[in-house]
Amino acid sequence: MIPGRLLKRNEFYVFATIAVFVAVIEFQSGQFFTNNNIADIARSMIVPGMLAMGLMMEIIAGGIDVSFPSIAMLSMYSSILIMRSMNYTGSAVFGFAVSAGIGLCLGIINGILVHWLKLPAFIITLGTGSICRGFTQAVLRSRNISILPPPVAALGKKYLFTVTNAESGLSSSLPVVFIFLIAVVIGTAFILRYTILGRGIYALGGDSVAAARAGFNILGTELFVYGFMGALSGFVGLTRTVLTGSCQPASFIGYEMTIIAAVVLGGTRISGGTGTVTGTLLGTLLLTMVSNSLILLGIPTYWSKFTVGVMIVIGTGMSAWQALKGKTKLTSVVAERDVNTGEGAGRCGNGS
Amino acid sequence: MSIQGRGPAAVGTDRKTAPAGGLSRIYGTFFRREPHMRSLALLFAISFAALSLLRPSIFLTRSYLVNILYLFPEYGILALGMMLCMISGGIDLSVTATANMSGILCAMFLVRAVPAGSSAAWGSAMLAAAVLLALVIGFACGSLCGLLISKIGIPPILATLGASDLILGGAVALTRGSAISNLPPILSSVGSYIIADLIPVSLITFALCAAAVDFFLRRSTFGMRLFMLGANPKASAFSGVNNDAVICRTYITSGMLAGLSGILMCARFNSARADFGASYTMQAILICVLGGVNPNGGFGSVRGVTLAILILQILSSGFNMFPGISNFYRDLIWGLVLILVMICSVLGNDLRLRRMREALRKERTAFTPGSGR
Repeated sequence: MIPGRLLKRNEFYVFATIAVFVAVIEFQSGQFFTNNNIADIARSMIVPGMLAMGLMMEIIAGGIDVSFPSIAMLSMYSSILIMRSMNYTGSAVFGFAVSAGIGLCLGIINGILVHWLKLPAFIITLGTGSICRGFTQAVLRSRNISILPPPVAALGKKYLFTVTNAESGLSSSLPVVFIFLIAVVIGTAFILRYTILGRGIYALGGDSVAAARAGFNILGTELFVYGFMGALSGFVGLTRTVLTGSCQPASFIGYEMTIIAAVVLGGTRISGGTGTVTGTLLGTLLLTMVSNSLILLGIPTYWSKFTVGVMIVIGTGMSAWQALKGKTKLTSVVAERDVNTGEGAGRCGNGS
Repeated sequence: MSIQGRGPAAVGTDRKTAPAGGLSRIYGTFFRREPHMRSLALLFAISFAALSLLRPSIFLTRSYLVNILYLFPEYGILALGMMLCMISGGIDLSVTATANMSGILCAMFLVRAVPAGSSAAWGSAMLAAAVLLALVIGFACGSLCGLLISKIGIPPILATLGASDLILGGAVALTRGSAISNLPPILSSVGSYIIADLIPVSLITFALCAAAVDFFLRRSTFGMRLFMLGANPKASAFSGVNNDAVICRTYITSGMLAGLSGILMCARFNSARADFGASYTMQAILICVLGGVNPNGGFGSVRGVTLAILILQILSSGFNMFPGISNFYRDLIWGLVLILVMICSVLGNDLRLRRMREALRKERTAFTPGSGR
């Protein structure tokens, strides 16, 4: 039996969808539960999974960000340029620090603008994202770099393990950077669950005025959330370079909508205040599976965008519909009580 | 510069308060009570003058100026729809997808309905049918967004994002990612026709759309309700406005405008493809914010948006005159303009608020001498 509490949770539905999807793929192709397919999916989760964690935090805090692909692009490209110009051969940690540092600065600019202007974060980050993209493509004249600095290239060749599918002979390996994803997920979960900062993030998204009255530092929380996303974007940008073995700045364009879709599918409310790490991971997994596994189902890849659209509409529609129904139920209960006790009219009349 | 242009309170009152007489009346209605319009006009004049001085031999030619008028209506019409949605307090991210969908379906229809060698009369009739079809498709896509937002309660950003993926994904699947070409010549010959080498047909389309939207905004109950909804949805619901209906109508109008824009795009490229105009959504948002539409809802005017469109098109055509500057600078500069406009508007609002408080305090001390602090 499924307990009723579970039925109310969004994660359950995402999980059920994933299960159905997996069953269909397995039934159709028999290729889902093969070791190389699982490794491939884990590998494709790395970049969207990390970005989704940062974006989820922003959305919980009542904001949103569409500038992170451009920030990732800019910090990735400039950190590679810096390393190349220095002929750097030391540890790859330096590269990640530079990239994340550039991203952090850009993210903090986002945070300051959002806090100060009090205009929709969507439009502000649209502007800053456009600036970063323009800067990378016009001022830095970005192009694909295939010869990476030695430490970055070396990191890309390190694998946790390699598996070979006995049946098809295809082999896949899980790169070492998969550890980054695990670290970011655990870090995000820790911040959201066990720190006062995490409480502040939820409080800010729930009601910013109430959060300020309760003594939460609004500016600090916003700066942290946007700065974290910026630093994470820079970090992820370089991770993607490591993964693909070449620096392709243009490959990030248009990535924001995919990540937003993943976060929202995971049950994070776009109006802020609600969201879990588990849900976001499941949402990312679902989207990754759709883009990875449609081909296993024999569906042409040009249907993938359509499928994502259907899932966004149904996924967000369901929780929105429940919220709407809950609200009408609540108001009708209140109205009934007011009618019964005559309190509603009295309250209005004696207001002043 | 100020984002707060004309609120609902100002609608329809300018006739009584504007001073009589030609020029001063125009100045009064356009600029005095709208500092934002003054800044926009100034920006327009500066960009026009700068380009005229820098490259008079190219910029100040008839063909170049006509080309500017020919190019902007495509995304200008999208910006009009975006403005309506932003006034309602929402946003429409599906405009480009709707435009592409209608462009593709109309292209498919025209390819089948007008075989090579059919008469001009038949071609024109089918073209009219295609325009009607574009409006119907826009209506359908717009009502999808409107219903998702009003009846199901999905926030506008998400609803239109999902609808955009759905519509665009459908368009990609329909064309399998390739372009539809070999369109009958009637479409491009009408769509890119320039009357007397001066007035492009696309400009007339834009002018008609702008006039209609302006009329609805300022002279109809729908416009009044839209402003009320955007300013305060709770208050408008309690004053008897059917918010759901207003939202639906807003997004349907936006969808229909996008449908028209799709036909124009189709005519200019002489083909249809799912990834045309990918940057138009961002451009439309930029235009609206630059044109004084408040992203939080409740304020905005067709005049401001039209001026913003002209400024952007002049700047972007200006870039093309300097082959040394890469096209990517456009992203950089438009992003900067967007952020700067928002900063200026917030600073301007602060300044105005402070002045108002100052004036209020002075008034108080003048009326009750002795009690002033």
